[in-house]
Amino acid sequence: MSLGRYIFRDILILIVVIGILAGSSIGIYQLINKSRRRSPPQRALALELKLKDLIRSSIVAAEETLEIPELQQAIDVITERLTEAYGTFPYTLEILVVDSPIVNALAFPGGLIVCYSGLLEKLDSAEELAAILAHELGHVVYRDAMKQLTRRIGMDVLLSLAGGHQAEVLLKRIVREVVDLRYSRTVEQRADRYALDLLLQAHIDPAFLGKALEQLQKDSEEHKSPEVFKYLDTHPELGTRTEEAAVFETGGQIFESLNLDWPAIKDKLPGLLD
Amino acid sequence: MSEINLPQPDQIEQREKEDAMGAYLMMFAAWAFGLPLPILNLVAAIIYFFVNKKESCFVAFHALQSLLSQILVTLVNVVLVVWLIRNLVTDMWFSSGFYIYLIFMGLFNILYIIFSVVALSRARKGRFYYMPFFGRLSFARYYGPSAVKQDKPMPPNKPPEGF
Repeated sequence: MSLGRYIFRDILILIVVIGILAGSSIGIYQLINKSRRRSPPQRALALELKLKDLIRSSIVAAEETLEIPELQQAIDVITERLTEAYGTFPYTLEILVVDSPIVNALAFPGGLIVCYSGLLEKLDSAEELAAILAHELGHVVYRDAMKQLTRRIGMDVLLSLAGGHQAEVLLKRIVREVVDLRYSRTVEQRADRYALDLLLQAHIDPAFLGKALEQLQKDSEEHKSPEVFKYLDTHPELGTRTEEAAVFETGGQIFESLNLDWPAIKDKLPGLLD
Repeated sequence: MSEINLPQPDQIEQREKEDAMGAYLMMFAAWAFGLPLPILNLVAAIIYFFVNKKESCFVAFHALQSLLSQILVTLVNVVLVVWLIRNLVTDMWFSSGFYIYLIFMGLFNILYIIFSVVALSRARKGRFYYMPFFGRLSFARYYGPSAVKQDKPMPPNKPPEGF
């Protein structure tokens, strides 16, 4: 056999070996996946619930939570309507209202949503609150908080492996900021799309999401108070998202009002004179 | 085909054997520093090759074989690192394709380590070991018909003129 043929044979061997390895990888992945499916992510769920308890207790210890029966009832009506539309919701939803001028709502692992009274005061109707909660539900369903946490840990491990020099501390910070910004933008849009669909299924006009976002945007432009107006920090590109929500196709569906006296509920909130 | 005169284990000096073995050991040392940046292995292999290639054909053969084989391994690893960084920086979540590639990369590296350990132990004993394809290429470079002439006669040392 000539040298060229030997080289050709070697290349063939390499290709076959790579093929066998690729095939084995697919096989191993399917085996792992199968065993994971057999025992659904119970451990992941348990971890999320532990985190939820931890976050809830630290919020309750540090902040003043509001327990106004009328507000709680309104939130119950909204969450019932939304979770019914979802079908079997994977988490027990828990909504904490924190007495604070901060205009924001946040979704934490395990189905915990924290809503600041500052945000409630800016909203004009219960349907707008439903839209905001539907958006936060999107984060819960997509497990965005857990994913962000995993991403941060992953990034830390990767960067610490790359080296521990002082100069890299700055790089670390820059990279993390970029990660957070890029992450938020797309994830927020995904949560919006989820909210629009959920609102439609819950027979609530999806236009309320646009209205709520528009209201928040208008308010942020009028009152340049970055200390208080946190919604823009964690929910970027409000303008684009408001437009997207406004052009959402509802297919001529008839909507049902939530029948909640929102101005009366707002009256019960403390610190309305701010 | 003309007869190729290969050095036998007893004709190879201990230092050459150790240097040939070092070509494969270098990879493990580089791994410790450059795990997230697999390109470091390649850089280490390139440096090792250029530093040691003049020593003897035996050392140069092993260093080149190690270098060439690491090009392929580095390519496989770089793809994973780029994929990982892209997923972390953008909002891509880890797909099943990523996990399959991760397993593939793991298996590929294990296989490569096995080949390297075998080559390393052979080199330490002053023997040749031919990895598929890369072994043949390296051999052709230093022992083939158009091989690089390695063992050039050294000019004798002379005193300065006037003595």
